[in-house]
Amino acid sequence: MRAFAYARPTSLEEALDVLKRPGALPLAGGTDLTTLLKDEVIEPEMLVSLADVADLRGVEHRGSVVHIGAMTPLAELIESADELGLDAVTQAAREIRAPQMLSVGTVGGELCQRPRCWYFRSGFGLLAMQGGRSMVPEGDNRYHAILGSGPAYFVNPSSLAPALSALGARVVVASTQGERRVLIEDLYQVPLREDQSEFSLADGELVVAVEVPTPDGPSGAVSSSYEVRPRTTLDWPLATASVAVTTDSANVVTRAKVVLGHVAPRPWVDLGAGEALVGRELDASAAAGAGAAAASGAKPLSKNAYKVRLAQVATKRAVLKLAAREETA
Amino acid sequence: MADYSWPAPGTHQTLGRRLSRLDGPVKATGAAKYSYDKALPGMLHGKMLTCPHAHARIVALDVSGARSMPGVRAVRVIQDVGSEIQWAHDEIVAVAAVSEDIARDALRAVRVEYEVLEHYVIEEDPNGTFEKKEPQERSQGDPDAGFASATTVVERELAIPQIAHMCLEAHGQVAEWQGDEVTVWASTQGVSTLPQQFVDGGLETKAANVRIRCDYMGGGFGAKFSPDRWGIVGAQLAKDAGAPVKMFLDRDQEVAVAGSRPSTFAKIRAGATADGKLVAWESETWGSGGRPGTGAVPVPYVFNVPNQRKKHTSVPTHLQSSRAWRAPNHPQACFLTMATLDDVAAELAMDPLDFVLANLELTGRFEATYREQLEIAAERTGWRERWRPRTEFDDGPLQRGLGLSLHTWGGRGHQSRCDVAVNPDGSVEARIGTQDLGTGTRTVIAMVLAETFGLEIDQVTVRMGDSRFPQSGPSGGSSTVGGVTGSTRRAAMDALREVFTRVAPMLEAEPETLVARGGRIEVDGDSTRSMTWQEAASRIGAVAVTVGGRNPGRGKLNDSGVGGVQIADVTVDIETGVTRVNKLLAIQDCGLVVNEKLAESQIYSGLIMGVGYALFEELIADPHSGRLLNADMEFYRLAGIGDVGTLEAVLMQGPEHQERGVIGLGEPPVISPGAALSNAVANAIGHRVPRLPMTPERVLETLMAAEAAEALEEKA
Repeated sequence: MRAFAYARPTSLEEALDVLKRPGALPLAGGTDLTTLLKDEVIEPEMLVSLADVADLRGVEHRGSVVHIGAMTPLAELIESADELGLDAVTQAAREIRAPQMLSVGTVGGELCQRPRCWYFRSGFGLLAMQGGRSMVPEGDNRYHAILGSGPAYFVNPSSLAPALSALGARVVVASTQGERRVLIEDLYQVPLREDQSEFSLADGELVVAVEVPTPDGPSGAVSSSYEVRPRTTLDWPLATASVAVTTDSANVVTRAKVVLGHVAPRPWVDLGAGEALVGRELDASAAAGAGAAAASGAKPLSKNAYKVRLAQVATKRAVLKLAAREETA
Repeated sequence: MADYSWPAPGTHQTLGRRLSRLDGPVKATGAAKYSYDKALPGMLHGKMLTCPHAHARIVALDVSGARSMPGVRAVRVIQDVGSEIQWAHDEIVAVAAVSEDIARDALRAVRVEYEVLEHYVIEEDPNGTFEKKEPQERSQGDPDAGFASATTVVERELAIPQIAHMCLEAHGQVAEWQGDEVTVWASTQGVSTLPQQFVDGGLETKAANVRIRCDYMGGGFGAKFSPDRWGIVGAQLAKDAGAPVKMFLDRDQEVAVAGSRPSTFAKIRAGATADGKLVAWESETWGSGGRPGTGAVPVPYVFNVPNQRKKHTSVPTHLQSSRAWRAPNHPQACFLTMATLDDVAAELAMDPLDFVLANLELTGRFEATYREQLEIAAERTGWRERWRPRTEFDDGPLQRGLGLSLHTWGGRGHQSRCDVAVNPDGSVEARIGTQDLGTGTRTVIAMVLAETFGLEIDQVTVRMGDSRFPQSGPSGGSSTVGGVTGSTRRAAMDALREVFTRVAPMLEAEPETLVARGGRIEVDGDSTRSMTWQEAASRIGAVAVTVGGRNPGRGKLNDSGVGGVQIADVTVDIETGVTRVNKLLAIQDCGLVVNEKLAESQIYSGLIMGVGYALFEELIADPHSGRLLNADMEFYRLAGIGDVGTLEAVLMQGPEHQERGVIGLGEPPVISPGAALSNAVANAIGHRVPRLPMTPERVLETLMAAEAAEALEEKA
């Protein structure tokens, strides 16, 4: 770990002001950042702790949205999301499992963690380029992307992003210039060059909140998430799927959004799987149909063809959860 | 001459009891200080610069930037210009500084230029190796005639990768000099053997000046028998700097250089007759334990198939040299053999339990043991009612399966010496140069003292983990418990006889008629003539009675050779490939059980490690860079407590086992889980997952390949 300056502002204005400095990074729960520092993957000039910025924490209704402060701990998010019926979010967050991560980790930090790609973490860079070629296609790519067209093959590491994206959530991004809102999936971009970031944030911009349309509002949806991972305890997912649907009085799906996680450099909004659900009753057959439609166009690498199947199974099972919910309702 | 034995079966006072380990509370509360925890006044922090390339030559090296950095107290070049580096993370330069951060900064200031050389790290294709080794070939009987007589022949390609030891306490030590003498607090499996090894390794002093301490230890598993380069250089830096130096490996170094188990890849043919008799075995195996390659594993395992032809090729790679990993070579051989036999049984449409029973005569010495254990195992798991052929499935994606495996091990006690002292105040103390790897050695020694002197375990003291104490062998090969109980028992019996001799006149009895029992010394058969232990001790005079004991020695106190049977019960989700262990059952003999609870604990630990290498663990090397991609605890997955299912240990007990004396138990339980779990998964999904670990991707790949083969068949 290299030496760095440390700031602990007490207001958002102050924080945004300090974050303008070159080489400054925000520090939330630190569960990922400290690992990156210790492994010398990043070497920031300054860390700006957000722990004392009170405005950034908490979950509350604000008009037609649920406002989730970026510094809300994951454990608190689980409780609130459960009460508010944001099932896809609750379920996705619960799969994070480790009590330590849930207590210390925050919503903003979870969304802004860096890819777990082992080439990136070994210091080969986000694109893992050597001699003008990515090391990933001919390397060990068992956990890499099956969707997207390169040159980035890492997968988006967030567990929350697919769930929030399925629910149509936006992140509130702030800087000294003001605030803007972007869809969760647009918080991320696919870097084309090594000097590009996987986030669409400009210098000095900070994720300060997430806004989720309230499920009981006019566009209210039911939602679910399903995750496949090797171990029962703390582990990275191999693939996830989050599904949000609205249904009419006959239980026929009128709108559906399916978002896959851990299959592409961004949360993967799966239009095909979503379309497969529209006009269908929520049942096992619709689940199978959505599963079969998911991850179409996938181009697996040499060692990750199995992930196509996992993405499909996760989609099917996420829909099955909704079908089961309809049955018991 | 006095004779030495254990009390007759049925007369034990302490042996066999379910006592909690003595160091449990201090470990649970953190009061126990491991070598890693050692903090001395003025202690410096050592760090090592390692090579980022798997194969390279050092062409230039400049450490002046490190030497001149404020806070840096000593710098040593480990490998200089001209050295050829054979694996990534090999050590180049070591520094000692007043803080860890400064030590790391100093390493960054070192300038090294490498000539990067071609590397080879993926031994799956043995033809790519840079150093072709002659295959070793062996055969017995008439393999061709054997296969000709077989009605069923199964061909398999199986593999088990290199895995890590992943000790929670990394390798390393704290070294402190006082004049010419150095004390090293090491995390080691051999306190008594390390002093000479430090000298042999280049430390400029005499073995007599090296003192090793190791009070508590966070795992060794076969990876901590030597001082290693970091041990030598750590002590050298301490000497150079004139201050204690702490040098422990970082996790990535720990994984990359401090312990791996060799891989084995195999092409196997096995033949059996229609009545289920194994008649022929042919195998071509290769594998790697890093730079030195690796020798053949003992296949076919346990079953001495009459006709065999075997060929093994050692494949050197640019990875660390492997180290002994709990039961070296046995888990690999067990998996290759038991998986193949299980597939032969499936091909014959036989219950694998019947198939094993039909071939049990091939197991030799332990045939009767296995037969009894198989009966117990079948009974405990309801095998006869619950087992079903691979061709039968449940509805839905969750499929349940059962698998079994057999194993064997030695476990004879090593050379050991122990001093036992009885003090006039009645306190009893053992001093022994052994170490407790976390297995309960300390507790076991205390129990032998308590048994012998008729005392409670809290009335005796065990001093260990110090090379100044009488020498005991390194803890490997499940040799410790047999060794230390042998030396302790002999010393304790002699000390007790000495006490008897001194107090016999007061009891108006011959010394030979006295016994120590329940905190008293009494005439055997006449409890009216007795005195308390305290009183007896007070009569021995002003000086303690101190007696040395050794193992091996007269009398039968330990033995070697065990058999074990394990059954795994799993549920596999055939849509996700995720395997969950419902239950692992181990039936194990180990002679005289010193402490039932600790013995069971040893078995549980073997089963947990077994689930780890069966389902999760694998060292993954990058073909391009030659570096490990998962030298961490994130993608090198260890089994968590939620992943291991219900563990059940059954110890074979009774007079016939007790009469054998003590046999080591550290290794045998870890041998079978890979095979038993692989067989259970095959039973659940109908196909063999040919490679460990059986990760979701491997299970799915197996199922997808089977689907593709079926589709092709339908087309044709």
